[in-house]
Amino acid sequence: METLINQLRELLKHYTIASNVAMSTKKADDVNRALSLLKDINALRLSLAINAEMREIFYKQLDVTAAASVNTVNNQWVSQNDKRYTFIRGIAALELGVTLSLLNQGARAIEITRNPVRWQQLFADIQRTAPRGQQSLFDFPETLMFGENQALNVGITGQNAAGWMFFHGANIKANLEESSIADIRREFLTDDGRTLYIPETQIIPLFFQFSSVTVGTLATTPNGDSNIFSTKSDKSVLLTEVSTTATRTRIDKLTDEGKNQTICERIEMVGVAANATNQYQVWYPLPQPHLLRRGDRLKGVFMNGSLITNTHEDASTPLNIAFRGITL
Amino acid sequence: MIDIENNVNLTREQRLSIIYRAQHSQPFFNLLQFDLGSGAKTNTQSYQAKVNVDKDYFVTEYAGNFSDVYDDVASFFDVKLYTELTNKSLWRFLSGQGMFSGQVLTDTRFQLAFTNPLFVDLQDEHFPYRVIAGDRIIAQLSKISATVRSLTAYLCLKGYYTKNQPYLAPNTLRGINESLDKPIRYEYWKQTVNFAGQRTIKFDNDRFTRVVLGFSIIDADAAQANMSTGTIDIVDSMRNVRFSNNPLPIGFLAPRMTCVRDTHIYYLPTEYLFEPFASLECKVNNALHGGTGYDLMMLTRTV
Repeated sequence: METLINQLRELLKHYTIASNVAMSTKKADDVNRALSLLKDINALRLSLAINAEMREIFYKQLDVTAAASVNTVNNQWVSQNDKRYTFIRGIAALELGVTLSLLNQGARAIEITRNPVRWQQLFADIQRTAPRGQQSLFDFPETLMFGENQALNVGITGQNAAGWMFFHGANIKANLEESSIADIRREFLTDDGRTLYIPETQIIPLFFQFSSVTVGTLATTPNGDSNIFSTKSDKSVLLTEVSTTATRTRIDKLTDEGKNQTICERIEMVGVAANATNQYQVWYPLPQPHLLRRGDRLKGVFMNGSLITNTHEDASTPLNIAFRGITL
Repeated sequence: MIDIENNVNLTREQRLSIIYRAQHSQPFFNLLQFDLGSGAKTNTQSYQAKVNVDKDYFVTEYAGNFSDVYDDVASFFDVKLYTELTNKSLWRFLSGQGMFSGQVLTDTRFQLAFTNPLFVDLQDEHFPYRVIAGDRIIAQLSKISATVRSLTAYLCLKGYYTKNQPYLAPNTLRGINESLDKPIRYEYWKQTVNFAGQRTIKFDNDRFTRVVLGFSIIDADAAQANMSTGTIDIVDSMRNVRFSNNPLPIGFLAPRMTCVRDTHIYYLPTEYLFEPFASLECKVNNALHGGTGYDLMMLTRTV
């Protein structure tokens, strides 16, 4: 997906130059060159949008309880119940020497790891001052696919303190109706083939702050409103990355209001968004791009205090979680 | 980045398309400077800088030196960038609201003390944002609350102009045609900056038409200190075009190799057409603080 977006950016550079030249020279060659580039751009953005609409991104948190001894295997499950879904990558906050066994637990168990492996080989570490693994996000070697009612079984050995695992995934939709595709196309292309606008970078933040440092305090907007929304956009935005200035908090619930889609709930902020002041990675890519449709908005409920680090954000300090993407 | 386009498997059509882009565009860096002054600052203090745009300008990247500023003042910044005429934010979100600098700027580390690297200095391009001719880009910094010693914060806008009707000398055209008949040749060019004070170094082209792809600073011994006091001003002496509105701190043109995590080259926003026998004159105003200097590398290829 990232490659497609990079290609789109380079095509746009070509187009901006070619269209300026065409407007100046009015020569058929130059005009045709610009139009042909525009055709490629529109095809690519439509395919990016369809791809995004075929998925429903989600983040899941697995609380790992401390085992009685370092040899105890702690078995836990993660599932999206009756949906088909994928896990693309994961982040973990576990002890240094912990090993994991992964199993696709369906009607017939499918081994993902034949032997227990160190968690650092499959999961990125959370961004923290004393790292225990790679802090730049990386994907699983292969996307893990799950059918309806299949679960991921995680066998954790050696974790004798509380631990956390975060899964970045996406549900797979069965199909996308032709009318929905036409609806997306009409946003940037008129019926007679005229392009209405070209993609640009867009940042969509949700601003919030806490009235108190007490762990568990719910956030308000900087103006004191308890409903925290992103601003509505007049164009659909393909969200691709996320970053935050509030790593010492938790997300109680993050939803796309227009689609009535819960993106995540009851999850540590560090499991979702990259630290905006970090040396490793400022933006985490989303599991799959998410299409925030024209006029829709994100709604967030945030809670002060991280249970991983036992720290909290200061009171009355504006914070944000920001999504970056491109106008479709 | 233009390395997506410029790979070793280019077809003839792709080469033609890139040379068209190089002919009709000019990479350009707009440097905005904020004199933070000295003394105690409050949260409400904000700073503003402007740049005039006299031709359609497309911004693709935003860079700053805010991790160094943080090292000095222990304070983070919100950054707001908008156009004056159309009053639009350059990242299309509420022009009235600043964004945290780490989320919108890549970072250029000037100082030796890179032990506190707060922001990522990898190249991170946005989609091109068009600022129309005659408009003005206004940048505002806010939320500083610290005691500051006299300090300059920089914000560098990287992007390109379009050149609608470029003049091509006959030997440039001949060079392009000759080159298209042959496989592409990539070449690294090098000049050594091992002096203090001001001096002009030159990258002189031979008879081939080339495109310049990017710059890098290679220093195998140690990271160079205090490059903020070293600037570079590049002028193509054949076409008399400048690469920037002000002499650039070198870190905005080329990344320093400070540690393994860093990037090794900054690609230009678009390819620069380097005509036969043209010369890129780099006026380097350098302040060496110990060390033996560094190599300024330029990546080129035949068209």
